[in-house]
Amino acid sequence: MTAECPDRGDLRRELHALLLDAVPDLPSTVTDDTPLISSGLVESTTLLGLALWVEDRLGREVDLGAFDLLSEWDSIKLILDFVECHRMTSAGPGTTATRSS
Amino acid sequence: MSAYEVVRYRSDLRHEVGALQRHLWGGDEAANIAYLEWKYERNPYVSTPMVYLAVHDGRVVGMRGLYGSCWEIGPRAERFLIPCADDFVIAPEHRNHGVFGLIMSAVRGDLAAQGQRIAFSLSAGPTTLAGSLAGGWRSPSSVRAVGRRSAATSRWLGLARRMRRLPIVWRWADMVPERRRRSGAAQFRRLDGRARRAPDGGRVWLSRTPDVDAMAELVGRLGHDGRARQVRDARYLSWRFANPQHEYRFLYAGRASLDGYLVLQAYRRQNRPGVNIVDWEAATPASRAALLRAAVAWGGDADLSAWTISLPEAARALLAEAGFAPAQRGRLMREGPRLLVWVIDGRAGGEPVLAERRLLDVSSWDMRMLYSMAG
Repeated sequence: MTAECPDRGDLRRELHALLLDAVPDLPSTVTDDTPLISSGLVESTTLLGLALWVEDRLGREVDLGAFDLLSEWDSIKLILDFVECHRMTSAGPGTTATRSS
Repeated sequence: MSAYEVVRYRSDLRHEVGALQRHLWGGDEAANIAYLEWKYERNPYVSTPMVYLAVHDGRVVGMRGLYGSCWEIGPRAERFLIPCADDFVIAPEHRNHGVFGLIMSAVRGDLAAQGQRIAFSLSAGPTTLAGSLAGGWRSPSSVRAVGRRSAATSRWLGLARRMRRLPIVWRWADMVPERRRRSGAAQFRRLDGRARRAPDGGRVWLSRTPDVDAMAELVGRLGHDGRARQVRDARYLSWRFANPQHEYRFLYAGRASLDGYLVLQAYRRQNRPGVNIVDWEAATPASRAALLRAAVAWGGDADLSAWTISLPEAARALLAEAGFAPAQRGRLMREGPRLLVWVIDGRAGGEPVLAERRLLDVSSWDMRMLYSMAG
């Protein structure tokens, strides 16, 4: 599997769409820096969808237990930073190559 | 958010909770209530159920349950009563409203007031895992699940693969493996028919009922190496094997006294196939091997699974020889559920330690599926 490489603007739009789909009453005031997890806006089911989206964008497994989810994914900006940072490395904390099936 | 109130479970709310659990276990409310009563109301360590409910407009819309468990840890086998977080459900229309955080905040306050320092979660699925990690839980490891696919399942899956490549027929390919799904009793039908039913020259035999005194005696005789494990005395084992959602079979080895046991478990509900090896103890390598051989020979027409996180190398080798391989689970859970540790007073910081054992170090655990509600 090869990860597509959309730019940050595309990723941001995808992420917004994902969040809006999962949290229909997401406040319109949400910015890239709005706390999502610590504020309770995003909870477990949406977090799960978020984790799958990150895996898809990276093209490899994400080990949720291997990093601090709260500090690394608490805003749109942080999630995009995480994707960009780990996309540039072959593997990083919490990510391993996807097994071929 | 302020429209929600978190209250402790009371027995007069059991029908409401049983109805809410349809989102967790399925539509059989009576079965949900039986499970609730067994797990929380008849728990051997906690008399008042640690079940926390989110109430909205007078209706129960969310719950988190923690069951009592007793652990022995460290060189002096110190005992600790530790809550294990388990059932977590929020009614669909109340998700992403901060209810999970609200419930867990109430849990934290209540457990801290009781003097609890640590809680565990032993078989968190992906949704609970994500929510828990975001709430400050930490994970030493996955359970490192392995599985052994039966020949029949392999044939059905092969058929499904071939069907996916064919025009028109591909539409029904995903239904083929579903045909293999059977309830707990059905999973054990051939095992029950084939197995030896009484001790015979020290070889392995099968029972449908647990000999909890002999099992507890064996566990005591084998000793404790200081890793964190649940206290498996007769009282605990009697309660544990009364889980109304599960069906168990017990393989025993030995002569005058028990030399080993292996416990198999299946889910009574139709939608959870397969048989798990939930506990496996033996005084000798020969007994350990004989128990597994018997489990595979008599019960190998079912898909078998085991957790290897704490198994000694020799036992892992036996599983590999018997055809067990790393399980291919769903995304985010490829090695099976994860162990989670929660420091209830999060302000204390640092690494959780009990009886000189660092709980985020996987080598501190003697973890078995039996301790979790997966088994």
